[in-house]
Amino acid sequence: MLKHFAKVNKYLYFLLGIVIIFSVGIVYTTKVTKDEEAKIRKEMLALTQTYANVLDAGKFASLQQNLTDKENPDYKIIKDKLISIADSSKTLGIKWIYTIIPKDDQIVFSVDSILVDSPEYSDPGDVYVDANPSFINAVKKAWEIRISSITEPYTDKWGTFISTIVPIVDKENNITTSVLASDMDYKLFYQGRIDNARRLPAMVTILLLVSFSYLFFYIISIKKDRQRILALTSDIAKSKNNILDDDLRMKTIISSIGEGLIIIDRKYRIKLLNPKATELLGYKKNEILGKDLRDVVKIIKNKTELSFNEWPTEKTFITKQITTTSLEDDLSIATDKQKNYLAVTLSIAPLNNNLMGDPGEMGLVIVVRDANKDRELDRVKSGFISIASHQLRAPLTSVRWSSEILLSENSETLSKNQIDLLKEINDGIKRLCRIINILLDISRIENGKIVREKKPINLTTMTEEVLKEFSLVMGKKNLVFSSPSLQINPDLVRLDPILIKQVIFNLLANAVSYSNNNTTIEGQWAVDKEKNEVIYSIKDSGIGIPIASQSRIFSKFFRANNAMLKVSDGTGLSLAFVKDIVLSWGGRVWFETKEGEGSTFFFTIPILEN
Amino acid sequence: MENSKKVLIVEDDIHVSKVFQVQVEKAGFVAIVSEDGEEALRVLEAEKPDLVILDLMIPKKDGFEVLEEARKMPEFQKIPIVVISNLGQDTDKARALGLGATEYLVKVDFSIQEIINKIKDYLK
Repeated sequence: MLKHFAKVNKYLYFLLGIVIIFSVGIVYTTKVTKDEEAKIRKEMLALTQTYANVLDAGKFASLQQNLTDKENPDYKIIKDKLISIADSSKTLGIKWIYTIIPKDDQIVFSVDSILVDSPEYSDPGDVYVDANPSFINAVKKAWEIRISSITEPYTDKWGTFISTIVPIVDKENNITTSVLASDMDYKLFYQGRIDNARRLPAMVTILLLVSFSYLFFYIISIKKDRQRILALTSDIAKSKNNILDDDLRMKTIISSIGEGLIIIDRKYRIKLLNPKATELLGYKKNEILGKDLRDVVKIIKNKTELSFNEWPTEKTFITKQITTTSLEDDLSIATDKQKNYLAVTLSIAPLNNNLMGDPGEMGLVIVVRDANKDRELDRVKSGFISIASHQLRAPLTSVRWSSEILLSENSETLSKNQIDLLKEINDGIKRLCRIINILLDISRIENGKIVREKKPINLTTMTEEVLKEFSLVMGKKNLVFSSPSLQINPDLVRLDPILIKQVIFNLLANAVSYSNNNTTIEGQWAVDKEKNEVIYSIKDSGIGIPIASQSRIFSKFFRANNAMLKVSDGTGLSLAFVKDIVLSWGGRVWFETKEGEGSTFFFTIPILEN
Repeated sequence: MENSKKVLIVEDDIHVSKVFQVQVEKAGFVAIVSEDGEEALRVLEAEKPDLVILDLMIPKKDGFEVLEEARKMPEFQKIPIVVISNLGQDTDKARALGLGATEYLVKVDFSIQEIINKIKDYLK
């Protein structure tokens, strides 16, 4: 409401201003006009009086105001004077100058300044027919009471005039002998002078109005602009604060990252590094900021210094993908400030360099991790696995061998029952050993510990080798293995033969264990060119996997109920192991199944590029 | 005795070493037992056995050190040293073989008879 009022108020002020200026303008113009009128009147009176004084008043006495005056020498004298006065006064706007006298209620010409042959000439004694009342009154006033005056503007057949009426007085005899009239062209001269005089105040008024309006709206627009600028300034200040806050936040985060962070541009110039990075490199920030990283640091792999195009950074620059190194890459960095090489793992990510002031230019974010911690952890893990395996196996060895010795040496003295019990003990130990071995293998795979040589594998041949190990069992259950012969090019894949063998073995073992007698197991290799992988499937007509168990079938130690009924002593580890191994080479494993009808297990091996 | 070949058994677990000793002697060999790495090296030099069964997790000097030092001695560069240990990591195996072990057996994976058969094969 107040705002609205203020807005209205603003324009009211404007209107008020306009009105004031206009009023003042009018008043002033009016004054100027009046002053000019008065001036003109004064001038006219003075001039006409001067003319009257020039004329010899005594000479008028002899005039009769009839045609006989024309022969009168005084008439001629007066007329000549009037003619010369008329000539000199033309420039002053006086059109006619003449003498008249009132007679009865009319005005009669006495001496005219106009030449005889002019159509405007009036003979002495001619009645001024068109004399208007104010003219007549003025003449009467001059004749009777000797008062000079100026008439109001009047119009007759000759135009619009304003007449100055002045008595011609014979001072000696103290009589008014005539009346002098000077007619000024009202429109041309009188009005013209008024208009001239008015022009300036009028222009000034208009100028003031325009200036005022302009100033008013200018000020308003300045105010608006000012408000806008203030708002903008406030926004800018806020944004600046936000940016500073963000900047501070970012700096704090970067400073507190526990890994070394280095940002470089395409030319390897160091753009940013955090405190941890300076600690790892051994330099102060200002010593190396802006310098070429390659002048500051050497990268060593397996005790050999890498050339610049072997640096993992180059890979990221080219592929624009994140490159990471692991402990196995055995990388270290060396600087002049550090006595020893520092074992590191690196994570290098591409950075779009809009931030660095070079739009379109690429940079890198390098995270440097001190690998000694990881190596230590690795050693601890390895150590744990070693100790665990050793400590678990040692008592088992004793028990196994003891039971074996008992069996072999005392088969005559022991009862059948005792022999069976010892065999049970032995079988149990063997099972335990298998479980421990699988667990240890799984543990090592999960920790990335199994790093054996990868080779091209003849998958068909390998499958046949594994199959041989089951020939006895399959014979007993009368199981048939069918395998369409498809030779897969061994160079398509690179695998650790022990691992792939383990996978095929485990899947085949399951297929055999859970198949019903007199059924067929189908194993098949295939190549999927679209997905660039080799697929193996193994199909049985066995017990299948119940729906409720399907989601956990790859979990460690999990066994479905129907499986436990069929094979009482399974470890529940073989599929977990299969999954771990397949995932470790970047493959996929899955199954299709129907309870009571059988299952098909699939796994893939990625095909080697080129 | 069929033959008087000597077998040095380096093993700190008394139960295991006892089993080894009995079975080795049953197979007709002379069994000498050492319980730690330092003693093993002394006995090696003193007795000059024909074959060594070497455990890795033994006190004072571990099996790796014994293996390394034994192979440095010219007279023991060629004798069969069979590492029989429950350390089953690939790295352990690789290390042992790298240091000159003739064979690496994971104890629990073999029956005692299988081990004795291997010893017999080496000492033929």
